Amino acid sequence: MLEVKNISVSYGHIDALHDVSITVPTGKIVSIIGANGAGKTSLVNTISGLVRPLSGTVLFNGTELPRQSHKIVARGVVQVPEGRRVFAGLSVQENLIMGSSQLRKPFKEKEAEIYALFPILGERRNQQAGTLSGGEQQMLAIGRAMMSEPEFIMFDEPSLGLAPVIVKQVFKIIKQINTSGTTILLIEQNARQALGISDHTYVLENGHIILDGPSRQMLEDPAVQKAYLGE
Amino acid sequence: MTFYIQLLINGIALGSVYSIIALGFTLIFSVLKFSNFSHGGVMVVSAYFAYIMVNRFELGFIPMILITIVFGGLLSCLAQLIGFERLRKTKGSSMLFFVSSSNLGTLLQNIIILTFASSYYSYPAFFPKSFFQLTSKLTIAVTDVIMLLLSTVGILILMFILYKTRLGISIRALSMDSDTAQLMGVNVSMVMALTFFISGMLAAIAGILCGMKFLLYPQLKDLVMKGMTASILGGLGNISGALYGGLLLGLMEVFMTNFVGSSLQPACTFLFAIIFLIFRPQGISGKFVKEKV
Repeated sequence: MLEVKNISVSYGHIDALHDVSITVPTGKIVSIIGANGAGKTSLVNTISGLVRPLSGTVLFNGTELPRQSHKIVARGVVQVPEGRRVFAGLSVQENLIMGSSQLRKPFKEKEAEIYALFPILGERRNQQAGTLSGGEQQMLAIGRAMMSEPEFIMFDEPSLGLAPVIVKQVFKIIKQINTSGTTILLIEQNARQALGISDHTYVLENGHIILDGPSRQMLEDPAVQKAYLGE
Repeated sequence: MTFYIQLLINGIALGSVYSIIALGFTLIFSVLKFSNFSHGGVMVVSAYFAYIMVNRFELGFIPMILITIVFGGLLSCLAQLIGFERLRKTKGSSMLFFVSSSNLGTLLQNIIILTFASSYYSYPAFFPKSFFQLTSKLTIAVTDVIMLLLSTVGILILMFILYKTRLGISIRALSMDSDTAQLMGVNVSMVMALTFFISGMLAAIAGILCGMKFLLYPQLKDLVMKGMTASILGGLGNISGALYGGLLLGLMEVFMTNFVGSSLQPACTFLFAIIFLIFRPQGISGKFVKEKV
């Protein structure tokens, strides 16, 4: 279980997050929706140790997460960053190697698992990541994150810039990863997709959590429908 | 004809040293995106360190090189720890990196001036012969052969590390996107320290070679400018570019010296470099890198 407790983050004079608390129970999918600039990525990067919060703590399975990103990955918490951020000049295989720094079993073994999950990556293992299509890059970003065998994956805007048919595929994979036992925190602007797949949803606005509840209920909530589902 | 072949040999030998300087310089540029002028400082201190090893401790050529290479690597790590690690962690502006590196370079140079005074030293002759007679007209200096050999070995080992090992892949990933590398579990501080270690080892090789080719004097530090010119010609931040840039610069210098004389040569070389960059601003094999300082 991941607990974010009263996190506040600011960049210089700009407040990004204000006393934000969320809980992600083991084995569930929790989503965070909100407009651009609401602080969603700041939250993910705070959990990952890239951004240092002014106050607040992040607990994972009851103990506080370390401060350095690579140690956080070693604890089993990893993210698939916004915009995929694959290493464009490295081959597919080298990208996977970069995801495996904290892996405790042989690389080859895990690599084969990833290729079984994403056969297209296996076919292109020696190709430069920058030459892959958007959808393939997203698969690579997901595969790379899974190389460390995480217990908890954060997806930051996985649908960004992808064709609707690919988006559907990506969400199916997220569901599949969850079913196989990984806890998931999903950050999305695409509220309908996020509410559809997750168990619980938080709404983030200007750095504040303004609303939260079971996703199914949120879908019916007139305020949410008006603000985020465009009805 | 033999005359030009002779120039070619000399140019390649000189160029290979410039390549080694440029590679060490470029390595740091590619991961931290700043021009590391302390590289010259590490070069000159390592060159004098080698001198002490040979003269005081009477080490042979090979042990002297090995121990100096390790020394250069450690010195470079120390420079990084003092000069850059804190700046990197607090995401300091690149101007601060620049100031820090050029001051470190000056500091190291002045340590040498204080210890050895600014007079000239030279390594003892390591080999009984000073040149090989290839044909009746074609000769090659033993130092040139050593330069070529050492540079080639250094470059091959570097390429192997960069393209075949996890450390090398991490260095390349860091040069593309260090935040993401960190998020994926790469220990960035460690990779950074090892990058400086490798860069320092290259500086040590370059320092020894320059000391053999020219003489030992504190201004040897300024040869880092050759490395910088070479890496700009090759394409800043590009590893193979640094290699080609160094060779091109070496060849240009040798040929220019013959055509216009040694006093006009630096001006002509720079003119050529400027003209080259007007037509190919990204360098030989470079893509555009956003230059900071």
